[in-house]
Amino acid sequence: MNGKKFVRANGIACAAAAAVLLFLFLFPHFMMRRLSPQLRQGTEEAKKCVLAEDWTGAETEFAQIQDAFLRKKAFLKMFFNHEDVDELSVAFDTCGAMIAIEEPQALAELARIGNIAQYLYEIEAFRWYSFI
Amino acid sequence: MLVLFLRVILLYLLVFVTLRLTGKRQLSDLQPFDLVITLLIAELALEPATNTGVPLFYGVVPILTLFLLQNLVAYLSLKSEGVRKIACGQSIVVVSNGVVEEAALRSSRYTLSDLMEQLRSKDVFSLEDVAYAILETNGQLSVLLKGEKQKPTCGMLHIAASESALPLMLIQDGEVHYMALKRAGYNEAWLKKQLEKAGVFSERDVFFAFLGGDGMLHIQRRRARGGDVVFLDTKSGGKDGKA
Repeated sequence: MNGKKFVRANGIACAAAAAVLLFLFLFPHFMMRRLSPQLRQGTEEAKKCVLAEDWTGAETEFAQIQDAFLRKKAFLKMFFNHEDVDELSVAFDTCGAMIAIEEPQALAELARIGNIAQYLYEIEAFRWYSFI
Repeated sequence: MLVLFLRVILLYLLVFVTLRLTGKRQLSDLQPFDLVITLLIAELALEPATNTGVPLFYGVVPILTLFLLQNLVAYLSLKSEGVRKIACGQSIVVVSNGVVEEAALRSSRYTLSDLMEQLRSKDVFSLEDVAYAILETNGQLSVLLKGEKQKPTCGMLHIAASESALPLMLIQDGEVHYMALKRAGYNEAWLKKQLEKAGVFSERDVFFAFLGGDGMLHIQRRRARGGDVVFLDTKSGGKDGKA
């Protein structure tokens, strides 16, 4: 490759690298900015229903957040550690089963779902203490 | 397993392109920031290549970041003397008129043994032969011998030196390098004629054909076709021969 072509190829590569990085900085962050509050709010509503022994309500709330998670699951696996996403997936499955049999322990699983959703959001959020 | 296979290929291509775009440098000639990038990139590609639980982007982002950083440092080094000094360091004179500069050696963390080893690798076995020795930023030692120890040149001996042309590989593995042929100032017809003189009737039978700076065409046939070597003097009136 001669000098001019190399410089041009390098320039194009730099521009492409910057574009890819910008996309990877923004897309997961905005995705979690929408999904995380949705999941946390949904788990809070479901917890209220479980505490009030309104199992039908709990099931409805849970189904909504599970649907939101399943729609984004493939994207989540592209940008986050698969272990974390699988843990969230297991928490959803366990919680779903517990709500179905009207088990109050579902509260613990709902809390776990909320925590993991918050954790995934924090990974993408820019915090000074994340540097250290 | 197929996923692992494909991930390794993707990351290999990414690392290859990144390192290729850092320019034509051999490992021994790397500046410190180039060396850091090269070592880091290899390490960063390893985890996502071998662990399917880690997203591929966990390797792509650091590699692309290092690539951009390397380009930025290289660009700033070109534009600014200050940045170049910080990024690459400065060459240091370690021997001056046969005298070893002790302070210079100490500041470079360079021992006398290292110095003597580098001198010996340049066929210099005595410090008193050295006018100047400079430790370059890539760790190589440049040596200027004292006048009487230097190799004589044609100019010094008042001998007319022959004009040198760029040596070029004209055929490699049976494939004609047309750009090299053009650069040498010849065409396909000329090459065919030379091959015929050497008893070769197809370039596909040739392992390589190398045109030296002195006009000597070195042709070696493929092993399957005999593997013999022929030297042709392409400048008129020269001696042709077989090895």
